[in-house]
Amino acid sequence: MSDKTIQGDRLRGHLEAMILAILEGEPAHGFDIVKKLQTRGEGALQMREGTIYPVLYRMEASGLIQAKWDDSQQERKGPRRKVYAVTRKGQRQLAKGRQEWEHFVNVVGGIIGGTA
Amino acid sequence: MKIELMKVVERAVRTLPCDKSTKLRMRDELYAQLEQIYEEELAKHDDASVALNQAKNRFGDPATLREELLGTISWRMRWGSWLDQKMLGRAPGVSDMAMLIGFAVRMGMTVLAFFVVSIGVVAFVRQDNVVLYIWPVFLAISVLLGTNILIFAISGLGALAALRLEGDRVRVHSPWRFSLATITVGTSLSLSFGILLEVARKGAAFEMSPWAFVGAAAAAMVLFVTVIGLMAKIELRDQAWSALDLSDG
Repeated sequence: MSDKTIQGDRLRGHLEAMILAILEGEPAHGFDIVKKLQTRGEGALQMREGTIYPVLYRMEASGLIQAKWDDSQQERKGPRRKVYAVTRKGQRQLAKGRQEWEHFVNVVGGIIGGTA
Repeated sequence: MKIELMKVVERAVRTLPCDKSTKLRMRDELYAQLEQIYEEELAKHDDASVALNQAKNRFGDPATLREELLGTISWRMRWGSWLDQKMLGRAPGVSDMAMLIGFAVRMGMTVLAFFVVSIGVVAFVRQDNVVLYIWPVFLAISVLLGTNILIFAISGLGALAALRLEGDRVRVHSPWRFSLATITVGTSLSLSFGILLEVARKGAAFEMSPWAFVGAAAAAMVLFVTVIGLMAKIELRDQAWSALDLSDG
């Protein structure tokens, strides 16, 4: 496996903020969220796709996102899916997460010798 | 729906300590996710067994997923699920009928024990033995409660078996069976009402207007149909998942 992949705990620590960033643009289903994470991560994010749901359920319980059944795809076969959207609390959390991330990159990047 | 994909999902969800609607939501979402992954893999490989293996791999290990899902279940829901299991006596390998008989006996015995203790306390505190003479009524209430719980539960199973889920709608496919279950419930409650009156005072049931019994039966039947109607969709959908045999690895 390539050492450029990000997985496990390194990914888990930032997953909530990344999901909020994905949902900031528009509401999405779990499958679409995974796809967008993989696309924006340019293939470096490695995650088991089923594991997105425990994260989504936790975020929903915390009030960061809200879910509603998607009735727009009546013609689609199979079980119904929920579509997730970011809440105001989630937007505030995302803004806070971005600030913290910027601070982290500045400090740690400066020490390690990165871009800061 | 594809049974092999359903089994993957069910391995992660079945034993979670939460209510049926929460489980159904998880099953629906996880299945939809897995099915989309499978369709993608099938388009890539054009081989169902390769696509299935690839989909399972991308989806993740059900045991690990179960642990992560467990972390999302609140303590309140876990406690409710534990209580439900203990009260109903649900356990692997226990048939519905054995579970219902056990539940009915436990409820009847609990109420009887409550009455025995209450009567004893009242007789001791008030130093008056007259309260002891009403024990037949309390015994009748306990026996009738247990009997009615059993009859209602068996009728409920019968009524559910008379229903079928077609897409998103519940339909009665065996009206006679559904009617029989409903009438049984009404008759049982009406008879119990009469027996209780007779135990309380000889001849009391015969002095009562027949409409009182008809009313009791009608109320019980309306309540029964309403409860079955409310729970049918969840129960029938849950049955489709719970009936999956997961023993083959």
